[in-house]
Amino acid sequence: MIRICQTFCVFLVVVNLVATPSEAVAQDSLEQRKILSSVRERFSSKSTTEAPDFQKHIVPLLGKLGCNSAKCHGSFQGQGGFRLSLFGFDFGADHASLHDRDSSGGSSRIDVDHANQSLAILKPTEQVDHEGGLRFETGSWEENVLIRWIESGAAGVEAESRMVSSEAEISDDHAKFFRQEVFPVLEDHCFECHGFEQRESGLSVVSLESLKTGGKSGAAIVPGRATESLLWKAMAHVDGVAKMPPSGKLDSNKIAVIARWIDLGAPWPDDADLIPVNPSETLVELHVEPKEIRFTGSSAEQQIRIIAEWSDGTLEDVTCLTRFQTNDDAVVMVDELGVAKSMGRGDTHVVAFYDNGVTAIPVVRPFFDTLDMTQAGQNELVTGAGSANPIDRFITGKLQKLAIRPSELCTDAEFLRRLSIDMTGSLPTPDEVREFLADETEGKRRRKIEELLDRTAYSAWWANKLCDFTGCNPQSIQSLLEVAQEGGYVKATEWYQWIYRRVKANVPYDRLVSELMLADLAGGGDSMPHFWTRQSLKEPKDTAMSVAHAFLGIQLQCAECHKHPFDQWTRSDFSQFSRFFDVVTRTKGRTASDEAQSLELLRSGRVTLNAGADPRKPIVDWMRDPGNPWFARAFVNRVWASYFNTGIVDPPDQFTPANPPSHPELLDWLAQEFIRQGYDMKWLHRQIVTSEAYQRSWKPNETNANDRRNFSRALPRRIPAEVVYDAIKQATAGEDQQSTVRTDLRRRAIGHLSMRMAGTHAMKVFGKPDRSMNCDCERVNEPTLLQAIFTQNDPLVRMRIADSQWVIEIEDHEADGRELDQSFLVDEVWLRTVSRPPGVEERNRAEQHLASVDSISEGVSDLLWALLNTKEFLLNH
Amino acid sequence: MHGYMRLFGLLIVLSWSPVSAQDVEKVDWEAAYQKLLETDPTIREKVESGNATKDQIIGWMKQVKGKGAQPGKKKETVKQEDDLSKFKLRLQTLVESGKLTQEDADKLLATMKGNGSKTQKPTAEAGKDWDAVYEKLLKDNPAIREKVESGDATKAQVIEFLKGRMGPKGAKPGAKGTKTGEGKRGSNFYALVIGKLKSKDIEIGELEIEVDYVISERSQLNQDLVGQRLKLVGVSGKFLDDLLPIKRGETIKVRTGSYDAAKNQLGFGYKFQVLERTDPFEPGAFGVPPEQFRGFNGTLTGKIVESAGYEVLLEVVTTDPSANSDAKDEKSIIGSRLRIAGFFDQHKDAYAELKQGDEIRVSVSHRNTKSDSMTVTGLLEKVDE
Repeated sequence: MIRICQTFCVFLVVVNLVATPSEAVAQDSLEQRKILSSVRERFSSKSTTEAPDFQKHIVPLLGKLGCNSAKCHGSFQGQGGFRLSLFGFDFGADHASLHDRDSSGGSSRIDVDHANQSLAILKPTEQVDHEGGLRFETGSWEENVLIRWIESGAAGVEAESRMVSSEAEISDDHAKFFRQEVFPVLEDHCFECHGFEQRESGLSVVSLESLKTGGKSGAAIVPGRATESLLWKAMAHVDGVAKMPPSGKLDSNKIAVIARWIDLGAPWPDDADLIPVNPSETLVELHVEPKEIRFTGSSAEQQIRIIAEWSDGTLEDVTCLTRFQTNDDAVVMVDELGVAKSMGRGDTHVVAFYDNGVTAIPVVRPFFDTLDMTQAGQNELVTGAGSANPIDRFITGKLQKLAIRPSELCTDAEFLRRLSIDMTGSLPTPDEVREFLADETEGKRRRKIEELLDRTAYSAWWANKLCDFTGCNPQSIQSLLEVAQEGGYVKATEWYQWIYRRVKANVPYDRLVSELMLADLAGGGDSMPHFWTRQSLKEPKDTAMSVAHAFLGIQLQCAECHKHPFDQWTRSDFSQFSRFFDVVTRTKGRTASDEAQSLELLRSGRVTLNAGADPRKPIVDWMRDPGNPWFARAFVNRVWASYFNTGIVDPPDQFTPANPPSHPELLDWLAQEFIRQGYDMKWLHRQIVTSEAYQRSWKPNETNANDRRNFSRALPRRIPAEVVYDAIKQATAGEDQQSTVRTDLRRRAIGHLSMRMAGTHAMKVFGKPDRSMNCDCERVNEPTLLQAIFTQNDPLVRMRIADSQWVIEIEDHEADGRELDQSFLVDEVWLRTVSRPPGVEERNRAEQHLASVDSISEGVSDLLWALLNTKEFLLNH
Repeated sequence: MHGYMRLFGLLIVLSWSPVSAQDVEKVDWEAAYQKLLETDPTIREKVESGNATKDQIIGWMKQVKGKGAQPGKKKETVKQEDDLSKFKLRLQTLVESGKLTQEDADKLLATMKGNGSKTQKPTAEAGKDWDAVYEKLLKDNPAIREKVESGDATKAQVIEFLKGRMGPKGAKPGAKGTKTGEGKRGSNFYALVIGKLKSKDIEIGELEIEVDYVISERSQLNQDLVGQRLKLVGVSGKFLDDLLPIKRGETIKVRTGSYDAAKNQLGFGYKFQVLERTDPFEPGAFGVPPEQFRGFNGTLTGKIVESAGYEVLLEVVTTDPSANSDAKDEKSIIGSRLRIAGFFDQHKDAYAELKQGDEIRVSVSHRNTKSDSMTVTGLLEKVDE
């Protein structure tokens, strides 16, 4: 049923960084084949007789010139009455727009008989007034390309197939009537609420098909019978029908236009359809020369060449029609002609966009400009190469290439605190720190890892993270039949607990997702239906976007309305993917449609959905297929990002060709091994944290101070909101509470409280996500001034210190006249907060303070407050 | 006519039992709609948020009411006599709790008697095919169908609702569902409770309150709760922040959504958005009307002391009783405070403009004289300075 298209794996586009260190590597396979020179060369003079192609040359040129950007004619309303599809996703509509007259009805944008008098030439060359200014010079190759295209008939694309085909031939008069009179009414008065993004009452007016299908109230038009059509009734304010548009009744001429159009049978020309044409020729691949750029000096430059390979086998240099972008302008800048210029040391990618193709070219400039590795200390560079953990071999290979020397291993105290926070969302207890530091036996770190993996807090913290990814938001799952919102919290807690039990039992990740996706929606057995039944999934597109984000690490939002400027997804991809969920959402998984359907899943597999079958099953099978390009990768990358504060693909939910992995081989290896290990989540955690890469110190050396993406050192990061809340409790808890403040999940922010505390001031200040968006960016771990104010004087912090059971115990001792070991207490404050003993200077200062206050308990309170307000407390390092 | 307004509001709230089509003609739908808004905040919120229109609600009420008269329709029935006697008992309970007047109960019972044979009563059956029940409900009930189709309710939620309605208590006539009745969290109890905070747990979201005053439609329950130390559960999100700085012994004002008689426990009314520290309870300050003023109908002018939760606390300056006013001394309120509720729907926009210190002219009605609040009727305007 499922065919995973192995050839379309986005990661394969990215060139192997480690294995091919050569500079400007040409592509052997292309050398033997004829490559058409660029249009820049071919159209350098007007004498050429070649006719440019609309898809291959004209639309990319308009993109390169910025004509179809959101600021110009690509905006929803267009500019000056001229509208192009955003970034050129819709050849049919763009071609029709170019052939229209301008908004005054005067000059033609395209005049085939007098090409150089076309507005498409006069405007961008500023021979007539153009708000967008000069786009190209008269006599330039750009002008020549456009003039030749017009002179040769200004043809559009040849359509291979249409998603919606017209049922009858439409006369030219009717087509003109539609474009000039009908469509503007729909566009001006209906699209805002019934367009692509907004489908009020389930109605969209973007195509004839969608009008015929209609919304909740039924078909919007009955072709040939205007007075029976809801669209006309709504506009004419017929009693008993919702009056449209809400802003007020339209001019009677406009209503008459709609009536006439419907009475004519609602002629809707194919090329005016807002669902894009599939062109007959498709881009097979974008080849890049060189495959990788390695700079060895400042201001070094490298010309990038982009070769397009089309489905008919032709190859063409399209560099001049390609848009370029750098992913890090501190490392490399690239101009519009594809010349990359070194700006600094490090590594990044230059990304090239042409037609539907996106490709990334790795750029490296090592820490040392000469390739003499002895400068960096060859022996030190290979740190990690001997590690038994394959992760280190991948990391070290890249570091060697960059001539970066990784930091030393972190101290035991740093390791324990870092691991406890990352793996269990908890601070280690003071006794645990003492015991770990005193342990001098070999393998104690590995033993501690195993110990933590078995803790309740590990399951709680990672269940919490899975709730983040899957969108467990109390407000979205409350029943609208209830008044109080408590129901939402009850269900969110059920959601959390359902995942918690599975993490605790180390249920394989693919099975966990499968059970979540295939839940009995009536909640039978051990099913948890809230993922599907939440209110936020109102439309199929919402479900499609949620599933893509949660389990595939893909953002599809942009493609709902237009081709993404920096991604491969088109509206056609989005439309196909969400049509699958149309079935799922409408039936909520109980039954499928009456007829079999064949649906494309993001160009990586086709699913045949049999009549009557649960439509969720094939998509789960597709995700669990080992060849799925995203499912395993997205999860291992998210786990990795949680431990390193940066993903191999970063942001972790943006798996796109324009955002390639920093270590593609490592990501592939981790994903493949994860699958081979049966999606064993504990294996994944263990594998990552036993690596030297994870256990490196945060202290930089002279080679890696600016490195933030090659895992050469630990990146200090602010601890997450829930951990901050719990850590303050743990630091102030009584001696006999040390265990319960870590294991009582009902009272832990990483546990059940995660749901109840969503929306509180503390959680907002520290960036806990509401889980209301399909974006990992919802969780904010950046430090802010407000956080500093919070730890200084928020009532919650004051209450925790004032009510600290530990401080009360000290007060009781003082009241009983018992002697207190001040040195021990100072130690304890440090161990409770920053998980290490104080240094000599810190101890002296603390003891001085204790000697200066009225009581030891007061002094300890002060010290606790001071330590809670250190950067060290709020950072995981 | 007013009796029918109350009656029909309750008919919808209490039971899905339809009555005959002939009664449809007798009902003042405008009034029934207003009553429904007053008694059901969920409906009110839907209307205010634009998710439902007045026409839709009235249409839905008509459909629900009219269904019972459809001839020849198959129904699962229990014995008519059984139904009526249980229904009578239920009504009596409501009369005793102050939620229904005896007059209204008699009218309701009379209506039911006249159409008992047509009354549809679901039975709680083991192994019930909930899918089938759901499909039938969708077919029969356009309001529910629209909710599902619009995404406002899911199939799972509806089935959950049906299970709640037809569970152990569901087979009894007049039994309540999730929306109105004795669900897991108890019955709906939309009240403003004032009392001293005795304890709080800002993590579990619970507090204990020694009740000084309760205002709601259930006057008997209001009285019963005063003086008790009650637990209130379900505080979450931003309201935990509100609870945090309130100290034990301070007076707290909170709006509830439910009351669980078995646990003698209140449920926080999250959507009503009130949990705050307040002054110690003093009847006049909270707008409890003097006895001589109860039953007032007419127009008041006064200055707004407080405006929140679709209510206004008004310091009354003048009174102008209408002909049907039952107040013994309409001037007894002058200079005192009075709580007026019901500022939604037609008054929503004007209410949003009101603020503390504004002088307003407002028409009110005090139909339920046991209630401590009056209801705004047609007039609401600011008094020009």
